[in-house]
Amino acid sequence: MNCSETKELLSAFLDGELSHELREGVRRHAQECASCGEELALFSAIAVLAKQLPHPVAPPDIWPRLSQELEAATPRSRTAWLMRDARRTYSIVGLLAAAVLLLTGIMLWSNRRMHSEHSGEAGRFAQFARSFPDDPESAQQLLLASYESRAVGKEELSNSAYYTATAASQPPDGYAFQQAYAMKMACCECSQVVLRRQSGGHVAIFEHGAVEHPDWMSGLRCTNMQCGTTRCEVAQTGEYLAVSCHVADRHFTIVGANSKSEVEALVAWLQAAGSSARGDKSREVS
Amino acid sequence: MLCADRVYRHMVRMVGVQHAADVTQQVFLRVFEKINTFRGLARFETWLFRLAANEAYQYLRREKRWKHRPLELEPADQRSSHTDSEESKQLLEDAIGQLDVELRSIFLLREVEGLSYQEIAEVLKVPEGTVASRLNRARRELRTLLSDLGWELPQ
Ligand SMILES: [Zn+2]
Ligand SMILES: [Zn+2]
Repeated sequence: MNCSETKELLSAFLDGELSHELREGVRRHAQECASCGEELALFSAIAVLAKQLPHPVAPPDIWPRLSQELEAATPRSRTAWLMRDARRTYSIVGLLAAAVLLLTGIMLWSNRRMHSEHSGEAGRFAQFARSFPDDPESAQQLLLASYESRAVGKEELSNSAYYTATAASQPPDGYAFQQAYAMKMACCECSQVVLRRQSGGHVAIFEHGAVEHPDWMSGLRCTNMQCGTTRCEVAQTGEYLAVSCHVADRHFTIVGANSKSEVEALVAWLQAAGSSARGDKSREVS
Repeated sequence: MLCADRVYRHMVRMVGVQHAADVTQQVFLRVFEKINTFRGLARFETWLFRLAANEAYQYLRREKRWKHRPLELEPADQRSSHTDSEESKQLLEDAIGQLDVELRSIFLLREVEGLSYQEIAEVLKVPEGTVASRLNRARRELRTLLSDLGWELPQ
């Protein structure tokens, strides 16, 4: 793919509107080409900023004013009774319309929540989960740009979140530690570790400090899956899986798993790592 | 989120905050007039934004005011780490206000309302390919406007 072809596809790439092949083509070109790469970074910085714009709410007097307008807009008729009738018809239609609007408003809202364009955190997470497996670098950049976040070194990690720390020092079999991050999200100050699969590709594991179930997966269509003793919520993101589960007293979200068996293996690892991590912790304390 | 709020916030950025409530009311008068021509619940959102887009264009044509005073954000909060992003948001509001009206509406439908290309194509009655190329133009234009306003790309 050359520059002009790529430049034409940059928006569609950013908006997730491309087929897998075209996506790959753009990604490869943008990685090699400084000009296209820079333009993509700018586009995505603008997208991040736009997502943070406030949502002004309609002033409360808009409905009373609207019903006055409706009255005024009622067609005039010569005779009083006709006019009354016309008015009544108009306002019944108006009422019905208002009821429909109210209902659809609510439906749109819940629909939106499902697709989560507007429930900030879940929306961002769904976007991240969809784009991370194919393009971990840009997905990660966009995520980090959305929150107060920083890369965390192994040293600091060992004093904070203990599973991520274990992942850094003893990653699960078949994976290498790549990088860990801390970010302030609505749910908590989460930590994230990115693991490199030895057979290729990346997996991201988020660890939440809060015991409460984060709202992250509400933007994705989830099914349940049992991994040993742990019940997981699993969502398909393209050809990959995103998983949310609760192990011991922590909450985890896994992104970019390539199969159910990988999910099972990672959850089993989390369960095992928990005990060794707690062991490390208590040793540190004593 | 009620539809009225979504239409209102679209209008705040399309025609300016001073006239947003009036134009939103106009949109809902149209909705009441035309509700009997509306078919299929699934498409309500695109139908509504189509009426909204028409109303905004008509208003702007009538008033011959293609650019408007942008939305002034609340003053930045005390946390210093947020100041930069508050400033950047204000710059983006300013840039959106200066954007060509066609590009402005497509950018808002995508970035603020989160519509897909297919939905935007239905709202604006243009092919999906046009949506993609207009969004490229909108983003390039914004990039130029933003850098004229002194915006710096965050690290
Ligand atoms: Zn290029
Ligand atoms: Zn969290």
